[in-house]
Amino acid sequence: MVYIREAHALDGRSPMGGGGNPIVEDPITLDERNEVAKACMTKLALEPMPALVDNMDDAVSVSYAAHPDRIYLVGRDGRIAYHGGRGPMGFLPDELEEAILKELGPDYTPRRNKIRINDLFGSR
Amino acid sequence: MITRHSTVLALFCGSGLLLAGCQSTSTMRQEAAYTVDPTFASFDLDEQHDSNLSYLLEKYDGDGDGRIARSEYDRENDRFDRLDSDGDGFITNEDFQRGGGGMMARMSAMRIQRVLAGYFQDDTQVSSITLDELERSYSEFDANDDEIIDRDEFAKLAPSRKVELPGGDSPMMQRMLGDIDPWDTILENVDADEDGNLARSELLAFFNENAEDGEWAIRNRMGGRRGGRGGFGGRDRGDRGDRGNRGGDSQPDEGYSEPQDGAMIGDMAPDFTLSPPEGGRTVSLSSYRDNLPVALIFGSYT
Repeated sequence: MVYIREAHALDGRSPMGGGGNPIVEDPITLDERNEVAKACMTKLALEPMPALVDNMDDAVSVSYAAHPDRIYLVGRDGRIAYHGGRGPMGFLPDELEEAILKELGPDYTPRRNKIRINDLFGSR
Repeated sequence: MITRHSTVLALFCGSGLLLAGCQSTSTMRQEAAYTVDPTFASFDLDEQHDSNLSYLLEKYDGDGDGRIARSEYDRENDRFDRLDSDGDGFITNEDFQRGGGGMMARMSAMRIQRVLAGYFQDDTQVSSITLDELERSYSEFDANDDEIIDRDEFAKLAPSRKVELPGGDSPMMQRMLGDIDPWDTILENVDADEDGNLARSELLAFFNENAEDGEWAIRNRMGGRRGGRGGFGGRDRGDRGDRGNRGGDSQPDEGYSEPQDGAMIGDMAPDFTLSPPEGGRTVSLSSYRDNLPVALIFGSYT
């Protein structure tokens, strides 16, 4: 999980908060972005997934043209094996699953029929 | 939108529409109050406006006068200006009403547009509705020719008239459109005199407000541009549904732009070194290069 600039900050260009959606003022400092990232990972029960937070220069997000959300798969050789379109329309988890299975190849036997997150991210 | 895909790995979607969290607020000055409801998020614009305004008032309205002056606001000036959309120097309820609700209004507009496109056209060219198609479809629904379509007339013919529109199968679209009742959506948006029926004149008036040269192109994308005519996006003729899901979508904030394409398939993945939210150590992408693929899920809470 690479946490990037808010897609729909309350004081941003396309606010979407309220009525059940999270209300978030656009973080100005890395500390603020870290706070939102933490809340996000906790509230959405994503904590098993390791998260990293992009710096306020949004450099990583820009290099991956990732805003507002996007999926990439980096292959074993360090090259891009798959990427989706920009979200929300292009954000398709099913395609990621296919890409992962393809990348792992026909000889890969998942343990207990699941690909565990730690297998992918390593226990660092 | 957030989903949990138990057979692969926990995945995260940036739009935050489906929330699995519990209710919690924070009153610390520098922290946003994250109001999360475990039920499906509302698309009701008034609710959106109310809760957004309440959040801001609770945080900034020091003198309790129901509006926020610049002196009461301690973040950046351009943020204040954005919130104060009518520019009267105060953030008030009017600013939310006036701004057209931004994203939510556009979503609301997309829904009525897709309902009309789904039922009031023939299926020869589904990516736009023409005035002709609209009028012909209207006549078909209006079984007794009284220039009014009521709930029954609609219900009778709707199932056989329904046309599938492009872009309807992405998870985001499903969440946005999956549960809506077409007739209710029509009444909410088009029934100007609120008599519970759809008069031909009401439908034509609505169409003409949104169409260009007798044609209304279907929006497939939620591209943002705040202000203007409140969320109806019919005038943007650039959208054709047939490009599928690969094109660019929402545009980021003004002053923040990204290239359309990032790293391409086959390129070495750009390396980066970042910290986790709790800080402390740093992690590089290249440190994971040990014979396993790495999935990168880019997104944010909102």
